[in-house]
Amino acid sequence: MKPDPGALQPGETARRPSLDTLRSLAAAWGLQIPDADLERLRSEVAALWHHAARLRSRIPFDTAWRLGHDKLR
Amino acid sequence: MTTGGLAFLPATEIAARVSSGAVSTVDVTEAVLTRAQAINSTINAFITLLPTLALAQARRVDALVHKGADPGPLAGVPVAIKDLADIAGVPTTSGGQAAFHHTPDATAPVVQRLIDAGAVIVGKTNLHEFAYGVTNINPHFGPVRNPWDRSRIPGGSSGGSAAALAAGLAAGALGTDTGGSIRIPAALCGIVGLKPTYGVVPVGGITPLSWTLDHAGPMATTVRDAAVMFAVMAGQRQLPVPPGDLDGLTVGVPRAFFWERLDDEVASLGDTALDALRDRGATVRDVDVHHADLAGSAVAIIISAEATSIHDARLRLSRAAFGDDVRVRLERGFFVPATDYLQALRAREFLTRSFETSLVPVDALVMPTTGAVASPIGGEESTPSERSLAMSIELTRMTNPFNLTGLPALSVPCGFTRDGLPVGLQIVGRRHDEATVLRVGEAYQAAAEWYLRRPPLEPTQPTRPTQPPA
Repeated sequence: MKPDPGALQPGETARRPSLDTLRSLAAAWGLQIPDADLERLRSEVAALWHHAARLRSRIPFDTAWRLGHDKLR
Repeated sequence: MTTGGLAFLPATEIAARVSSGAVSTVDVTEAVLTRAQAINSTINAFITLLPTLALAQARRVDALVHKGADPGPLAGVPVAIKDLADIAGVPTTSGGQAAFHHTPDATAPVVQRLIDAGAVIVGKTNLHEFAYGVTNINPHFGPVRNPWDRSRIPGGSSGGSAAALAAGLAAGALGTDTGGSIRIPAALCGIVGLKPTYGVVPVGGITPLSWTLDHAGPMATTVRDAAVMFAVMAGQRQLPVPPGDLDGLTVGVPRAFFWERLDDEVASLGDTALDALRDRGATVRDVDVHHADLAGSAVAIIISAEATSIHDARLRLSRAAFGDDVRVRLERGFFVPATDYLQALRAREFLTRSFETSLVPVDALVMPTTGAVASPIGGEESTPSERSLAMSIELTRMTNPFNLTGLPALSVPCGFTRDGLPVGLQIVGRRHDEATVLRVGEAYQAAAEWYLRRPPLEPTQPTRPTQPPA
């Protein structure tokens, strides 16, 4: 397999959750996830937040609504 | 007629022979079931074989033929159903742990349409747990093995359906596709798979994964069979799939993103396929799909949030009942903010417009279905869960944009590597234009004839060539 090209580009920023952050969120939502599994989730959650950062930085959301948001219902 | 003779007949050929009375559905069904009982243990394609149900359906089709009634376009065709779809009275496992199985009272509408068209349901096929992965290394039912090399994955999540077809254990199959789960195993097992336009084939009675990305569609050994199955599954009249050339048709090649990061042999076979399309009369030209690289980001967020929503209760009650990789995928979805999910849905509208714009000057887009061939099931450097998570990113890269946009996409066999592993060519069309996608696929298949190759499951099989036949 070749390198993942999904690296952040200039202007993109992503958050990487700490274990404490995930532990707090999981507790607040009533999830019973052991620390070892939360530690493993850090990279997966970071990847999702990374994807969200890419969309925020590259999609012109300020004007994209002109395409018509009725399809989003 | 021998079991082996019936095993690899195309669905349309079986239907023609059954309808004409040249062969009985019971004979076809018994031949396929006998072969499945002999071979399934080597590839683990089926979770459940259904001989009693199948033979009852076969006798019904034969009775129609004897009465002179129309038995339907799939008369006597042995069809395998991914074990994500309900059949009344038959347990649906969804590839999950026993606690999550259910026995439905009703048959999924898409399965019922197949039965009403004369198909015979021979069994329910193995899959990646809850269809949430591409390796088909299932912790509850064991891995499906690729018939072309049983040390390798078949791709997934409809890997059991693809393996069954490649091994001659069915002539058609139902698959589902949320990020590539029909097309990836089709490519890696050397068969045909069609993900139709979003919403055209009903998904009721099929365990959902991500409702805005989920599709159901046909898997087959020939494009013509896939076309007939698609029409039945969609409740449409049969699509014309004219044999012949592609004169007047323009095929777009999105070089950026879709033709990048390919294994060398995949790229070479893809280029050869473009030459074949030119030879069949198509105009082949490069096109740009702006922001194509963002589609995977939107898919990752949408599928994570929606799948976790679907499995929320199961996850909170029995998280230990899930396999490691699926549990990780499901639990990560709890950490997707609502705003990120909604931005991904908004991004979908923007990206769909971009993909549709790229299809304005051309009739179809073509690209390899996957950038790599089937990976080994085992591995010393990582766990199955780690490999599953990594492979999902890699193998869905060129398929999941069409789940996001809902555009129809077909995978057809595109050749074999020097190691004898299949490669797929993906053909993408405009919304609701399955006819053009199938036309291109049919013309390419007629030129290349890769579908005639058989995996080395029996000692009498000939050695496969590594180049297209002359």
